[in-house]
Amino acid sequence: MIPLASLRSTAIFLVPIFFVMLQNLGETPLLRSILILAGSALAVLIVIVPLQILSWAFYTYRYEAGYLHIKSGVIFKKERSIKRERVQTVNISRGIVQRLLGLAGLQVETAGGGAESELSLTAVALEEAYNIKRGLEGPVSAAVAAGEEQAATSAKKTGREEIYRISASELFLAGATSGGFFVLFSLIGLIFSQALPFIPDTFWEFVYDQVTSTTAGTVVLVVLVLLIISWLLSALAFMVQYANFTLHREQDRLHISWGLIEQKQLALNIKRLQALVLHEGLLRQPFGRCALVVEVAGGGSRDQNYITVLFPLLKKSEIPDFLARILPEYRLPPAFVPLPRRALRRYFLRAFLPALLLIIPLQWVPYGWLSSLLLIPALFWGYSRYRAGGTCVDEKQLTLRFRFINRFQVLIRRNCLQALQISANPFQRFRRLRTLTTWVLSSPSGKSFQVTDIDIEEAGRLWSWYSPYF
Amino acid sequence: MEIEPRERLDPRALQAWFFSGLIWGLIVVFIPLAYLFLARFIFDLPELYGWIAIGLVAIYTLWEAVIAPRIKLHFWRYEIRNDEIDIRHGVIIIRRTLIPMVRVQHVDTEHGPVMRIFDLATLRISTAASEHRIPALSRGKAALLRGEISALARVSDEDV
Repeated sequence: MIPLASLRSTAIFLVPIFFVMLQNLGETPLLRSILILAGSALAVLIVIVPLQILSWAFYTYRYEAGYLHIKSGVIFKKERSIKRERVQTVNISRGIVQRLLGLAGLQVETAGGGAESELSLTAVALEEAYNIKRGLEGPVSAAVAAGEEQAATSAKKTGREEIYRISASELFLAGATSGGFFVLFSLIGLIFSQALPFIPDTFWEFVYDQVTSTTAGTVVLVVLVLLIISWLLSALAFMVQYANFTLHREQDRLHISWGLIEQKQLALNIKRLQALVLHEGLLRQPFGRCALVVEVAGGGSRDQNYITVLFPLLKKSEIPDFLARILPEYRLPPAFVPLPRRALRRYFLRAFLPALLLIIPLQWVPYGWLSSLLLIPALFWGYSRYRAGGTCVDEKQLTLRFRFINRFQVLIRRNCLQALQISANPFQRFRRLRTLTTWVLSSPSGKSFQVTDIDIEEAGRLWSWYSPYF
Repeated sequence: MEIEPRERLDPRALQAWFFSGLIWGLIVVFIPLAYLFLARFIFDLPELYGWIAIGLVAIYTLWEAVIAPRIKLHFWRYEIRNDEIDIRHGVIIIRRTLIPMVRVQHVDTEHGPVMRIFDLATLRISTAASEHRIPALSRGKAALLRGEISALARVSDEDV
């Protein structure tokens, strides 16, 4: 990995030089600029390669009797020991280069959590990575080990293997409905606008001639083609990222692995799950599909925006079965307590106000009255938000359902709720409505979920469910 | 829900909030005053906006220093029971919060210069995911509650 890391840092150094060069492209001859670029690359390499080799040589780790010891640092020495009992997760990830070289990356996260995982080894032999993982995650004592073995054999006897694997067609559907193409489309637009000054004028004259000689129809066509391309690309990217998504449960651990080019593995202790979220994307709802996401205490990594995907796409009708097999701790409620009828008016108001803020100033613009058409989607939006709102409690679990754009169902076990709040503004007090806020632990900090305008009676029920005194 | 929490804040909170509201008002009013100064002596700007701004600051200060504290004090209730902390507060939006003792990670007290003058302190209760405050308790009471909550939290401790 040394040459790779060196190259990467060199490339980072070269970016500003490259851009300075682009600006002066007109003034200095091309050959000279290339020479300067190559020269500075070489200079940077000469400094960085020995540094990388040194830091590699000084980076040592040792696994021994339940402790992982790491020593690192060329000038400033750093030593750290991680106790096995404190380890929350051990992740193995393999990028394309690591796979070519038979290596793997290893991340060890401990309860302290925080933004950075405790320890990350970028290149360990694959075999070694699995050894460390076993060592850190393995059974705590011989008795437990025997118990686990027994359980494993009994599981084999019953012949039930709780493995969920995503099929190719589902994966494609997941990618196609991920909504990533909006991001990609705007990204293409952004790159295009950034590249504008570097495109020669002659090109613009050419385009101008083309555009003026064609109709508006072709412009629409071009935009449409761009949209379709970015949609296909984003679907493809999603498919590559989540290919071979596999989830299985073993005792109280969930094992998740995914990825085609960069393979990732994650082992999650059930105890760390704080909430289960059914994320029904707007595009996925017509297909009756949703994604399963979990809130994890002290977990999740920055490159995934701290989101831990439990399963990228699942038929909603399959969820009860899925939960029974993988997560019997959670239960999908049979029915929700809906919002009272009188809440609908407030939801309409909430949808109309932003629309009106847009529409009223536009009345002074020619064709501005057309913006009043916005009221129709606002109407639908308000109504669907009202319809989505709901709560449900049973003995051990609180379930919230709400929508902003996408619909969420949040399943929280009672002992994972950090606090509960019921609030009301004067209008809500007048209409006997309440807003429910709950907090759960999540990384990097806590998260809150909210359902607006629940009935006052239901609020009271939730309150007494949570408090032993009422 | 029907049983409201019993304890109230220290009535000296009114004076403390009045002072801090007043101090804020005095700080903020410097902006329109500076504008007026510039408008009169240096640039040729309409003075009207400056006076409007001063009026707004005055109304805001009146609200922050006199009216809001009264409403706040009226609604503020809390109660610390063996298993939970029950808080009700708010000026316009009234919030009722329930924090189980098992979820309390730590409690601390803090007080700024104004609070110190009136011998008041704020009690801050943190769970793993959220933070809640009981402002304007007398300092003795705040310290007492801090000890009480941390003892109760330890008793009902269990794995998160």
